[in-house]
Amino acid sequence: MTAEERIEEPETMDEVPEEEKEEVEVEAKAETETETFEPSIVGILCNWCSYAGADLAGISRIQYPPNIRVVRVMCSGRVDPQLVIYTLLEGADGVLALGCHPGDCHYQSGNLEAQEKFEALLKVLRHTGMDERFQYEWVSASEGARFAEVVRGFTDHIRSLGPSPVPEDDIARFRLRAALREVSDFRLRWLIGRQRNIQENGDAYGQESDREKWDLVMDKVLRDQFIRAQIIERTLEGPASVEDMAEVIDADTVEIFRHVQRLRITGRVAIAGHRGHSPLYRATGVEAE
Amino acid sequence: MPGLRKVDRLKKLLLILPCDEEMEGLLDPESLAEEMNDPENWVFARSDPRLCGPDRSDYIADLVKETEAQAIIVGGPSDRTHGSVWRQEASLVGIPPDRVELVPLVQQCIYVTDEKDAARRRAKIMIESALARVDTGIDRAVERVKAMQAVLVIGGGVAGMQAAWDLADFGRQVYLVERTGELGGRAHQLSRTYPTQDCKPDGCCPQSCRDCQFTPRIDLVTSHPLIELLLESEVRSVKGGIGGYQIEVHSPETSRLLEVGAIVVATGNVMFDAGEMGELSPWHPDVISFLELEKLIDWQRKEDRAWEPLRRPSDGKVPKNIHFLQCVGSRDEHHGTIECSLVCCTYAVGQAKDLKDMLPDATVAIHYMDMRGPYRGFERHYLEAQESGVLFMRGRVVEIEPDNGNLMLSYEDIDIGEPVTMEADLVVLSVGQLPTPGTAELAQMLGVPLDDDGYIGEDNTTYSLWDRRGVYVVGCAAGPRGIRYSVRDGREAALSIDAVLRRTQIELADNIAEVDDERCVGCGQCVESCEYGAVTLEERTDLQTGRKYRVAIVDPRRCWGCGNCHATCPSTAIRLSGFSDDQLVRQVELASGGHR
Ligand SMILES: Cc1cc2nc3c(=O)[nH]c(=O)nc-3n(C[C@H](O)[C@H](O)[C@H](O)COP(=O)(O)OP(=O)(O)OC[C@H]3O[C@@H](n4cnc5c(N)ncnc54)[C@H](O)[C@@H]3O)c2cc1C
Ligand code: SF4
Ligand code: SF4
Repeated sequence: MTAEERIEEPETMDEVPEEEKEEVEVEAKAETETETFEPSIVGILCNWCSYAGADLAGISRIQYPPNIRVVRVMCSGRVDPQLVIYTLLEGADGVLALGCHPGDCHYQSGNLEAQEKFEALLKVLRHTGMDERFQYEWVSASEGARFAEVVRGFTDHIRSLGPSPVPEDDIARFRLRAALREVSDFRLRWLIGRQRNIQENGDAYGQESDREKWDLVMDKVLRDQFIRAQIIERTLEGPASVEDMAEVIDADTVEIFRHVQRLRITGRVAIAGHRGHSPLYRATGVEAE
Repeated sequence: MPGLRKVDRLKKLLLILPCDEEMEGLLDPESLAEEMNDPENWVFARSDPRLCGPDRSDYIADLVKETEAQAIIVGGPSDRTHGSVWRQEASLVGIPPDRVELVPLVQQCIYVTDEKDAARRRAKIMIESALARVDTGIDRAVERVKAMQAVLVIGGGVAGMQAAWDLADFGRQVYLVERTGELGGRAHQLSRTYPTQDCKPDGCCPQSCRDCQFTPRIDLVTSHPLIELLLESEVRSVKGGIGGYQIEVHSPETSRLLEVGAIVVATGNVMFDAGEMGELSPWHPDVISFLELEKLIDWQRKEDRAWEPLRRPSDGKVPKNIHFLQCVGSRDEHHGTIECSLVCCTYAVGQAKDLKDMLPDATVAIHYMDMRGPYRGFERHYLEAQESGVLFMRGRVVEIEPDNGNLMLSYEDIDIGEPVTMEADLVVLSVGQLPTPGTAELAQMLGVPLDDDGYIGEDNTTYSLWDRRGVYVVGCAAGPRGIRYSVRDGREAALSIDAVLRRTQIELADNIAEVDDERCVGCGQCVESCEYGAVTLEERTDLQTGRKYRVAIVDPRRCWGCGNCHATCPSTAIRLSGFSDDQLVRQVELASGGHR
């Protein structure tokens, strides 16, 4: 979904028939009373396009919600999925990453590299239920108005989602921590890094791979990795049985068990004891993120 | 990590500029500075009119002395517009560029909202973020590279020749690589140049063009002992960076490796081929471009027919109806380029006037959108053309149809607002200018970015203290311009290069990627992610086990500091200084702590 689609033009009062006006006003008042939620939004902007677009919006005096706090990077290609997840873990209600339009990157193709990372990140975030809180868009240096529009749209969208569950909800934090572990994993990072190259040049055997097929593979890998990351997170909290894990992990015990076995083989979890007949597992050789 | 030292905490001088009226009203810089001032935590905040006055540097020097500040944070302007200004200011008091932060209160705070509280809150958050950035920064050991003293000039038009001549004059060895078999470039092909029309052609003048007072002489450039001319040659590969480039040049018989400290790109540009604009019948022999007109004039001259009138190509008749069409393939969204080519109005007006003088009975008309002559002297030149009887018609010709041996022009006359048709027997197309083919490949080799319109970006003509590339783009290689400006570009580049290489040691202090050898597993992802070929894998041998392993190394001279490698490296071993994880993490932490 793009920002434009999200923005619903508010009806102006002039268009509302006289007799309904009162009603609308009362409603509006009621709304402002409940609507005290001011989301915290972190905008990661590339220096050459979107940051310049933000400057231009200001100079052109186009107002936008001041909720967005800007973090400048030189290129959207510098935006590590880790950083976005970390930001959400810190309690930000939304993260907006902006870069140059495809073809306009100051560094040739940093934004395309970024897009690959962001698409993978969105898939990861989907498992955590937080994907709606991250969005990436392209804004050029000359698009001050568009910058304001994107920020307004995203802020409204986050407002409608309500506050981030992170501060209150243990499960939400647990999942994000697992996601952070997932995107810090060497193999996954390697795969994301290869993504664009494989798309463009085919795989190592010179075979062309089409996007759909690749996406299916990625989906599977990401789901598996997410479950494993959650197993590690859960067992870091304390020894846990497969049943304990199933309470927090969105997968059945059979699937979890399969992954636990994999992790045992690679030496990342070990049996720590038993509760009744069920073995308890604990993480080994990994640290909390 | 060798060469890196984590900064503990710095004494920070926070300067909030009070000069903007609206800022004054909404933020009250003075009280904001008072509020932010926190000497215990090493934040020294000031807002003083002197910051915007003529004694700014003295005032700042005093403040730095008084507070022993190690970093400067400026509240007001944006890094994009004023970053270099303030980094220079800071360098005067010995503060390195990576310890200067700009907080764009003007662009990103005071106009965003007109609510005082919200603006103030926003300003504080922005400032805190900048303070955190310098405190979490990484001090780079300043990298120094030795400078080779020779210079390579690519392209032997007026711009390249001027650069080569001046550099050789400073005593430097210069290699001048030219694709064709002769020097002079475009200017040398023009019979006359405007608005400074000097002598009439006589064929034996040694100048590279008729703008003779301004341009370098081909014979002198050719015979200069320090200029080595490589004609019919091209650059094949480029390695290294500022101070030490290794360039492979192919010439007809040989291939050579040149070692130079800096490179001048003077490859000019080319003209739009109107072939794709079928509606203008470009295939018709009497629909010609500027260069074909030059050929007609040249033919007339060479064959010693100087006093004969010009003849049209199709049947050799003397034309009676000559029409110039401006902006063909320029200022056009569908053909050529949307940009103006800058010289064609001047040139067409001059050619039209000369033709009118030559053929007083002929109708000579110029169809134009706006007359653009960005040169001193143009207006007089334009008036003269009007006085001599050249017709100026505003409107874009939409169609040219061959008609009975002649040509029919249809167009909308903007001044009378009606469609008009008109007969012509010779049409000259003022075609736009486009980047020289091969520019993208050359840019890729040199590791410099292209602008939106395909020219090498002019922001690389960094005639500045912070030059890290040693690549200078001059003349039409950086976009259309007149002869004098092309020549001046060449001269400017020569001066800057001389100043940079003279230092013999070049300091590289900016955002550069660095590899943590301990973490790097040699997977090579970073090599692929870097658009500038700045990262390579080096094979090493473990002295104890004798095992061979690979590790990434960054050539700091080629790194542009985008950080793509940083976010891509699977083992987070390669890091971009100035945008380290510590810095960004601290910034997002501050930013996430909501309004709640
Ligand atoms: C039709 C026309 C009319 C003009 N009229 C006027 C006028 O009246 N007044 C005025 O002031 N200006 C005029 N100009 C502009 C003027 O010609 C230019 O400003 C000037 O010639 C630019 O010089 P340059 O050295 O930058 O490029 P060029 O003269 O184009 O020289 C570039 C050189 O680089 C060489 N080259 C290209 N690529 C490579 C490569 N990869 N390797 C090696 N060599 C390479 C080319 O062969 C060429 O010799 C006119 C231009 C045109 C097209
Ligand atoms: S991507 Fe990272 S681990 Fe791989 S070679 Fe580069 S620096 Fe080393
Ligand atoms: S920061 Fe950018 S330019 Fe520098 S080495 Fe990394 S990818 Fe290449």
